[in-house]
Amino acid sequence: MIRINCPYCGERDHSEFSYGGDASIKYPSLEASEKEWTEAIFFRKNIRGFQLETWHHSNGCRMWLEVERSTVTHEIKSVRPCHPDLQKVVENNK
Amino acid sequence: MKSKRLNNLGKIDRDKTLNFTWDNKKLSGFEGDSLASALLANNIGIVGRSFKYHRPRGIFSSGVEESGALVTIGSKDRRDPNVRATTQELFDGLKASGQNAFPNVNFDLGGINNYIGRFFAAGFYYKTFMGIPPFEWGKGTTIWMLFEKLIRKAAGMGSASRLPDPDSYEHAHDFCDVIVVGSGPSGVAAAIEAAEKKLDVILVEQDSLVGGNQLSENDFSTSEIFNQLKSLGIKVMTRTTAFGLYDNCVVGLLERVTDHLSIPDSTLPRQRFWTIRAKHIIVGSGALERHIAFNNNDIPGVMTVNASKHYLNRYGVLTGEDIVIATNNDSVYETANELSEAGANVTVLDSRTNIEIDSNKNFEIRKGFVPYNINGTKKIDSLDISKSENINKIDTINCDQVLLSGGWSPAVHLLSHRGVKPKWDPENACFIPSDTKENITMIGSSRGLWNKDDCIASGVAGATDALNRLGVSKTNYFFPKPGGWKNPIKPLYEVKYKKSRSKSFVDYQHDVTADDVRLAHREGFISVEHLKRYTTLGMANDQGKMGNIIGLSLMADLLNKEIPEVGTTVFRPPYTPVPIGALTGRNVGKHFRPLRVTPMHQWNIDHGAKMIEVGLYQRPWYYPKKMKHSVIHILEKQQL
Ligand SMILES: [Zn+2]
Repeated sequence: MIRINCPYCGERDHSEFSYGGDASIKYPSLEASEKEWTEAIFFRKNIRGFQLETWHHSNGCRMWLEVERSTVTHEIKSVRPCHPDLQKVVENNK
Repeated sequence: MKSKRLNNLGKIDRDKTLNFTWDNKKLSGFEGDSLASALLANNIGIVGRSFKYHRPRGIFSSGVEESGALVTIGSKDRRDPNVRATTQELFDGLKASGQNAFPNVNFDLGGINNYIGRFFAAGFYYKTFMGIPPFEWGKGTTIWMLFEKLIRKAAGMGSASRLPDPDSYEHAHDFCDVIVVGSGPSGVAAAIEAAEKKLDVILVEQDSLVGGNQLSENDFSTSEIFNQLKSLGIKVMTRTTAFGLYDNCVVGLLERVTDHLSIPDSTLPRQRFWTIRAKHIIVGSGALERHIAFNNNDIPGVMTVNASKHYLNRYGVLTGEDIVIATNNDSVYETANELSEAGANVTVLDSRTNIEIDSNKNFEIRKGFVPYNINGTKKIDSLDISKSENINKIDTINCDQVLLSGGWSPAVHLLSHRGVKPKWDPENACFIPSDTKENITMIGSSRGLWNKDDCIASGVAGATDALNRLGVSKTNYFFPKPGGWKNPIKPLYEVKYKKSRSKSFVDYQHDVTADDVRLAHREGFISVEHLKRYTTLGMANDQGKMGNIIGLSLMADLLNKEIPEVGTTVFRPPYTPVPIGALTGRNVGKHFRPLRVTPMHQWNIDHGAKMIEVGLYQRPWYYPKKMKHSVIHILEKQQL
């Protein structure tokens, strides 16, 4: 039901993208406890409102994007590349 | 009813004759006709039988709100039941037939239900769960299963074909800045205003022609408007219904691509299911005229006033000879004038007394009168009338048609899909849309504006609202106030019949009478949602487009409350029925899901394996016995 403004390709239909899941998760180190890993892999917040999620422009530039999307209205607040260095490149080229 | 085709008037092409059949009878109409107008031109009054009582029913309207003229189109694998004859375009070779009747709609054995009707009152279906009183005979699941079969057989509509659907359907996606729903004066004004400000605009119209209710005007030119819209680069989609609004400005559309063609192009899909992502939605979906509940208000020959105007000026069909118009508002007088000019003998009953009407005295106006009872069974013989103040039969008028206008209900359905509850406007006796934070703007008579200039002004205002919200402009605008008639409307929903056992229909299609609403109240089903489910009011495939407000007002009366205190039912998508085939699209047969095979697939087939689906993969299930030895032999040999 949404259109995503890819920073590389421009605004495209969501059918070009694949959903990647929660983008706010920080994976623990390999040495971390089982409990930490369990939480990182299985436990998700069921957010009502804006959530940060990853989308893959799989039928386009094939870049991973971080999308801020409302789970209530599908409204999209922001779209940026996932990789922090690429975020800077995109910012500088604006 | 004595309806006939006129030699002048109408937007039909009298040089192109189209042949069609109605219940195997050969008839003809003209290019530009709807099935309903062609039937009326051939003076066919009875086109269906009602759901429960099998009462003869005629054509009530000229549009999507139709609840009488539901017919079956086509035959064999292309049999399409419950098609509204009023929206089906006529084509050469069309085959149509009446439904819910045996042997036919003119003589139906099921008509007996009309006389034993008191056993089929509201809640009848639920009561069979409890057995038949007084001894609760037949209580229990087994016997109820038997009842259910009988009930289902007796009550119902047309039946669908059991053969696979030979047609193909498509899914399509599109996007735009502004989508305008409805091509009436307001919708066209909004589309033009938005397009002139360089926005990307889609205009959607469910009819085959643009114009909305202006198509019922004598001097209206649809092609002129169409060309103007095209020249501004507006994408005009006709024969396309916006059936629902969804999250974040998504509109669902159903485009009927080949339903109006006698020989469809085999490369085209029958229908196309569109998902449109817009930045702003402007809805000019118009308003629907209500009927009035009084005894026998369903006899063939009863119609809404606006429908008659439509048949006259769009199709060149005069729907009656001696016409009585019953109204409580100003919208009927132009129609009365035109019908009398076309040769009908017209009498107007206006329930109001203190009104000023400019008319050229071609017809009689009886102020302070209301319809009381129609005499006749398969056609109207006469109409009993009453004073609006003191309800009682005082006079009888001989006539063959009764046209009704109980006021207009703005089509707030699409906004309701977004969870926005409409608000009651007591001055205009209708629900009007409330404001919403979403990028949706209601314009025209779907806002409760009855005057064409106001509608156009509201269209421009709606487009300005869209431009402001999209950040293109910052212009002040205002919407005209609801209303626009010279004399105020006086609420009139039901004229109560004095004798018992009246058949005063609120919802024509599901045979819900005013008495059924009272029964629901007596048995405690006073919430609107309970009333709806207990009586099935508004649950037929017209979704209560004509009757809902009447049902609400009756319940409000019984509860001694105002209509807004009783509430309004929530409209859900779709606005008009969407075929399952269109929802499915191309995903049928072997396209239902991908076929995955292993590298050994051909080998397995060659050796007679019976295959089984494992996930998406085809795997051998077993090798039938006669193959057993050779298979083992080969397996051993190849060391598999
Ligand atoms: Zn991209």
